[in-house]
Amino acid sequence: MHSSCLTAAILLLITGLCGGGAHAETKLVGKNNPKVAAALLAEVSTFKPGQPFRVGLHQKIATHWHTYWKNSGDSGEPTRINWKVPDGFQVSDIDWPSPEAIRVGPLVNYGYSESVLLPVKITPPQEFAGQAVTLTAEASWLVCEEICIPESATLSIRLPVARGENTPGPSADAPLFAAADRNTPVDLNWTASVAAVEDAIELTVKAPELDLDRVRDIAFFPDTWGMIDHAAPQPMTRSPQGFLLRLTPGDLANAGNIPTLKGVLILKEESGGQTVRNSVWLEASPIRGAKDFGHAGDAGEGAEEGRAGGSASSITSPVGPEGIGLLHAIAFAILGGALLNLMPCVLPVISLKIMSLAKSGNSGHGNKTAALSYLFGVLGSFLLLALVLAVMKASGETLGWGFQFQSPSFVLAMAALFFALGLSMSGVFDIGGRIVGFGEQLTRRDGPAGPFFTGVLASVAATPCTAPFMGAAVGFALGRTTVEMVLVLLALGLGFAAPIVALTLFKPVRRLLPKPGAWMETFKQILAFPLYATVVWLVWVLAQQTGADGVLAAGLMLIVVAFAAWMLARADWQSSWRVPVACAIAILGVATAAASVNQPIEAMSPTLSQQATVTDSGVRNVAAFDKDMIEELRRSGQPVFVNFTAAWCITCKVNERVALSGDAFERALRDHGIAYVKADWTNKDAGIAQVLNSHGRAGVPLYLLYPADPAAEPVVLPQILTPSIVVHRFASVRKGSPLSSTPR
Amino acid sequence: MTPRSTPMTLSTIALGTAMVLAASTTAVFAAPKVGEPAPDFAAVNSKGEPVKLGDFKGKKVILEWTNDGCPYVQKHYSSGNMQALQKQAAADDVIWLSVISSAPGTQGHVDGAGADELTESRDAAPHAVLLDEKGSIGKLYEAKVTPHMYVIDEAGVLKYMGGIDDKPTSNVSDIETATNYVTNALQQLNNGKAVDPAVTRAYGCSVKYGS
Repeated sequence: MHSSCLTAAILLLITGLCGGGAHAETKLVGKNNPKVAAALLAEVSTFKPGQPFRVGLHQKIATHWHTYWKNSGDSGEPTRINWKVPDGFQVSDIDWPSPEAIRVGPLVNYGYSESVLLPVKITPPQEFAGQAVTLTAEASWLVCEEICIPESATLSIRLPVARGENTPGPSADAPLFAAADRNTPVDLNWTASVAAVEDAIELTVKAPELDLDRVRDIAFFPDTWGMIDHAAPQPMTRSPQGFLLRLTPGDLANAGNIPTLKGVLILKEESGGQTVRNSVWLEASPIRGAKDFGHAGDAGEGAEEGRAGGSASSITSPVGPEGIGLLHAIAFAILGGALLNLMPCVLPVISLKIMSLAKSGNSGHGNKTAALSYLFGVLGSFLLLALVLAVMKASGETLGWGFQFQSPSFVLAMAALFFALGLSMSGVFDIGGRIVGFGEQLTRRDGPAGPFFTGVLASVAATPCTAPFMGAAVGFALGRTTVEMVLVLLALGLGFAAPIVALTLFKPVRRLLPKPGAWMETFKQILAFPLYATVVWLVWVLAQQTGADGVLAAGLMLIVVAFAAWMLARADWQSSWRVPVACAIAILGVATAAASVNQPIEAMSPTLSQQATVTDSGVRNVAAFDKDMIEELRRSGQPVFVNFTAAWCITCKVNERVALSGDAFERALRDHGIAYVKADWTNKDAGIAQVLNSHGRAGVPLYLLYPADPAAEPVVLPQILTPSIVVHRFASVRKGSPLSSTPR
Repeated sequence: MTPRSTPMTLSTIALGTAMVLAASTTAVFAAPKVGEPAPDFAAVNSKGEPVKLGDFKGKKVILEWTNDGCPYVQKHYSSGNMQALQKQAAADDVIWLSVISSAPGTQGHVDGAGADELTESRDAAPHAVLLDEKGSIGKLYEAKVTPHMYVIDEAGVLKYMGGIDDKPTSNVSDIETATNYVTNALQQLNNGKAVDPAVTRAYGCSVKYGS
């Protein structure tokens, strides 16, 4: 075939030279008209011995024709390059850009259309003494539309050695390399695992920060043939911390073997009214048999499932937590709810309750009314939570267990509550008092109000905690209909309430409790410390949300709470004016603090002068978003680049990884004296939303480059960034801005 | 408030569609499996005579998907490699069936006379050439490319499916150094051994199915 191609090429040449040709020759030329225009390009114009650089095979592909990825799919053949380079030069494998799926009848191939750059890294030897180097690529590829044509070319490029100390500069083709990088899979360290489930392969991906509501399409492209059926659909379901793709086994996997799956995940993400394609590198190790359900939903579990799977053999069900049905989810919810009683945030509250039961001992106070009241308190709280979740989900919010914690005011109020509980358990004021002591009161009164509110309090205390089994159940519930969600959450409440209800109702069960005695006081005081730990955690959460000012507000609030507790301690409970005053002080303190953390950022941000100083001393500073600060910086003659981002936005992360980090980016900031500001929209922020709105965006990413001239409009950068776009735009704002006429 | 809920509904529909599709593909493609009985088929050969896989019980059968316009098929015919395999098969009383699944109007589609002419001009020696312009045998066997090769033993059990050899290129010069998987499978069957490899990636041009 090669010889016939060559013949055709020569014939074409002769025909062209002679200015005409026989009919037969013209037909031959038409048939063998090459479908790919290939060129060998370099990213640099010169190179230095010992310093790696990149060259690449560029293919310009005729419309409707394709060349192929390293796994070409059901048919086709990847492009191959045989390098001829001088001794000592090392050439890497091709760094394959992400492919697209090409449907051909019932088959699917993986490849490229229009154009593609296949880059390799060349490492020249340190001791290279020549003036220039010639690199030659013998490239061959298959190009197909309906039919396939093998083509080949021998291509060379000559690169001179950089003179003196000059660093090798970019070539005119460097933007093509940047564009290829933008389309090369990024490793975001997502944990993934594969498991054989019935006749499918389930690929589970943990990507907690991913916002699936923005994702329009997810497809997995394995990098070798035979693992999965390339043409089969890949239905996606949500899982507690990411998603699951159901893949159909390929011919090799049919033989009963599921090896590690490696490949590229291609996600199409909705971004500001536009669909953006991102690709993420994935390596999924197999899980044999079992999976540890209990930890599936726990936050912060970082262990690689592939490894963890081997040890977690106690649970033998082959079904993953994501694959559970409604009954399973309800069972998990009941179990998880029961275990929730043992969690550090709940245990102290529950312990109080248990101790009060123990004190009442066999006095016969355990009655149906109290048990039912407690049960209704818990169920009512969980029902309310389910309904709030349902309403918010319907309005398009993305929620998880503990969504309330996105609100700094809520976090603050919880910190106050836990601190007050802790203080009372430490003995600062009497827990038997009526402020927080519903638990104790219950045994003294037969009325239903006491146990009902104990149930509510325990439920509130439970919200920051996740117990084993719960993650799977709640994850299931959040992805389903409102009815299913309510059922699962009620089951959770039922499980949560069950132990206490049992203790209250059944005397024999209550006899299992330890005998009351002096140890109870010590135990109660010890229990204060997990509560203090919870307070510290809550303040830490607050610090993430609001920064140092939130911590200050929290600290002041805690002092006010402590003061109120002290007043209560000194109060004659029955008659003293101190009681209402103390309560008023505490409530006022919490309310003030809560209001202050919920204010827009402008009111809380550090002073402008501080920020400006930081900016002057080191340009590569990532400051938090503040409109006034940006104006101030611009007045002082500095352009500002603002990156509107969020932890849950993959496009943002890919852009940050590819274009907004690294030497080139930092150099560009430095060279053009640009201040870098990150506007993090992970949490709601009215100030940021307003700016997004004013640029017609409903979400992130948005990249704004504010020229130094305060009157000038900001330049909007594309949503898909490459290093060269950023560098070029930075350069143009410098040149284009009226900065030169502004005295500094 | 509603814009977010619309994509959810859409994705539900998409998921549903995908599931229906998955179900329908499984129905059409009863995936052939090595070690299991090869799916039986009834076809018409280039002479217009009916041919059934069941006709050849007691003999080994080789299925070769072919398309004379495909460069990978041409690699093995212009070199004489495919013809040599066919003649060896005939000598060993192995039934060689070449299958053409190209839809009318696509590359490689021929009528009976055209198929015979190709056999003649290329000096090929298949037992028969099966005309499968509807692609039903191709889809039954999930034949993806040309050449895609299948080896079936005397009991009608599928023993090998995949590529013709281990050098997935269109270079004639690679044939000499390649390991031929069909020869390998036949030898192992003759020696009473398990076929290894039993499944490989078939390389070549996609089969030109009509849909």
